[in-house]
Amino acid sequence: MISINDIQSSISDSRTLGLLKRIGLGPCKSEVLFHKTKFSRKQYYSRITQLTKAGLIRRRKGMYFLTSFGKVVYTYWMGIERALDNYWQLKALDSLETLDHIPIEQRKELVGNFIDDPEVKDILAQNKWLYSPPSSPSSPSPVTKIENQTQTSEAAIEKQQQQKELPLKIMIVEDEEDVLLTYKSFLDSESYTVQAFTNPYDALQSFIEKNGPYYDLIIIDIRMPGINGLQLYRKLKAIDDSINVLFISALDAAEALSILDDDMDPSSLIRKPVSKEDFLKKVKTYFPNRPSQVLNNFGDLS
Amino acid sequence: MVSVADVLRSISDTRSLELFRFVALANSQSDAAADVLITKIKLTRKQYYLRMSKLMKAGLIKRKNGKHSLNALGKVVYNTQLKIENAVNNYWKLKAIDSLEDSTLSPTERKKLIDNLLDNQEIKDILVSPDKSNNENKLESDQRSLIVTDKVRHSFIDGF
Repeated sequence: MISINDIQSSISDSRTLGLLKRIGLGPCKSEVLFHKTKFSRKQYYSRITQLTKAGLIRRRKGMYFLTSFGKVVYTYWMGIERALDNYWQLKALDSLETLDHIPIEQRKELVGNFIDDPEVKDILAQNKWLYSPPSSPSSPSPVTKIENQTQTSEAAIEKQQQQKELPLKIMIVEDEEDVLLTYKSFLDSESYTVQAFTNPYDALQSFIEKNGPYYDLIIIDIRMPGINGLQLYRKLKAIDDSINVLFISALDAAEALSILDDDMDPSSLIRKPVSKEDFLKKVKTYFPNRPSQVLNNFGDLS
Repeated sequence: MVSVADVLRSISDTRSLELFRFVALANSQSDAAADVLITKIKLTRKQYYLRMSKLMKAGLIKRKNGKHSLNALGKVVYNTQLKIENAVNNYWKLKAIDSLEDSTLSPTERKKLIDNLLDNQEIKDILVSPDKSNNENKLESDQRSLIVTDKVRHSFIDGF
């Protein structure tokens, strides 16, 4: 997952920011962009990689675009640039030390006399964000809030550790309800946490709504109405490249293999019909370092 | 005169950003609070003052009577930080929008998808705002729509 520091450090030099601005003006061919920016090839690709890793830009059909995330962040940064266009007016406002201590109506009028940009004006006139809510016994002090923030990274590591010990989460997508229930029962018997879908669109929506890596394994039937298993796989993969996917197919093995993409592992295919043992054996190959879920639960009890 | 890059550089490491947030939350921060903060953020005194000095040079904070507080530019930047944090929280959904756009979405379908996925109105407005980038996307999308059959398009959006 990307952090705010990753994003900010990715464009904290003016030339990278310039590159992002150029892409922000509209999709741009890589070669054109390279010539316009006057970077050496190495400088250019290193910056492009930085921006791509920060999730701000992407390449499609030889053109660089802002991603949706990049567009949002870029728009907000342009707000800072507009504020800097009013740099001296902001300085003048700072010199009026009463600004934070006058009623909101007066403050609005005062800010309005100095600043034209409506957004900047709004931020300074409202001043709502600046203060912590009125202190109540339950509201944390700023020091506590910072303490909480500094503990976030430690908590994240601890959370990751805890997640390793949680039951593995598996999504299964199969349009035939009876077959789906059978597979689900196989997985339930091993105490996996299973989310089952007969509709690939519902599966896709659930995947998106998790808002982060959630499933340890996704099992997809290849032949489904609407979008088939491979189309679903490509959509999921485009969102999270690190997902583990296992395909199920009633097609002839050779036929099924031939429709798999080059980047897919042929061993990620189960041929229907499949016995419970073979099914679970295949699933377990994705978690070689994890003890059996059932054993794990007994371990917890002891 | 300060540039956007100067501003971003001053808060581009975790500890500086934490200090900046602290000054914003506390509004005015005394030297006594600094002692507490140095311990909490695990900075040496030198690191603390170096970072504070960078924030001051970037025009984000000021020091008066031994207390640090945000100045006007700092307030704008802090507000922007909060918005970007919100965007980071929606990162996954924004990525999903991009990946689904690569499929077969017309502008109307795209808007519907954005409406369904996101709650934040400001982010929605940014994504559907007509700009150069969008116009080219629209052009491409319209071209794609000619190729894609209505059946596929409707079945796709029906899923949402």
